[in-house]
Amino acid sequence: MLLLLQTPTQDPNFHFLALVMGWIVTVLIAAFALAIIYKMVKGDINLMYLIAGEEGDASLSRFQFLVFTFVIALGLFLIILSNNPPTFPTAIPGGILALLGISGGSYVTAKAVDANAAKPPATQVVVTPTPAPAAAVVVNAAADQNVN
Amino acid sequence: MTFLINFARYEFGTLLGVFAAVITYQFLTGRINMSGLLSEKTKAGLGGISAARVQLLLFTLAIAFYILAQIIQSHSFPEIETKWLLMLGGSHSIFLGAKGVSSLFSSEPR
Repeated sequence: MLLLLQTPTQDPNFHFLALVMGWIVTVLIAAFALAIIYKMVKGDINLMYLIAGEEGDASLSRFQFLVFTFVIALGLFLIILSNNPPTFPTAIPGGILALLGISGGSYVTAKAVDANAAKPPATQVVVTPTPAPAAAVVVNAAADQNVN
Repeated sequence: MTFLINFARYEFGTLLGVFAAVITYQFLTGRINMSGLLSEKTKAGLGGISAARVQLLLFTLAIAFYILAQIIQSHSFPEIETKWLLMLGGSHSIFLGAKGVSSLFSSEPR
């Protein structure tokens, strides 16, 4: 659609083809999204453990990652759709990227802390020093008799 | 062509709204498990409310609402000042620090 608007062409066949492709993509995306929504509502896509950790309890690090991801993605969609014609924003501020980095880094770090805590403690091996063997004394009685 | 653009605009907006509504509804009705979100987690089970988790949740929601409100108002991403990022980073550090300390020094770490 953007190509259609930004590169005016006098070829009607290209114009018609781009229009048909635009409708196909739009309808396909709508169909996929509606199928996903239907399955989410019906329960075939189970969201019970959407923000749960390995133990099954809700994880705050996952929740905050989900919140910021949704906010930034939703904001991006709103910005694109609010432009006429719809266009990608020219610049994304570094603060937004830093925000996503902090959120994602915190999520990964929390997972690392959980994984480290779940590891069993290292077994201790105690080594007892063995006493040195007594020096062997060999008595050669036959040799002594020969000397004598 | 203009009709297609407007149709796609309303379609994407509606689908996003429905997605958000379904997920919010499942959060509110308990179909998405939120038990233990603010509780200390030990091997023995869930403990009491953790102050580090509460402060992280509050900061997260505050900054998320601020960003969303700025986007709706100005139709562009806001410039986030360094002090807000430092505050959020500090909040995450407190949360992760508390998590690490509880996993290291609790009698039954998890």
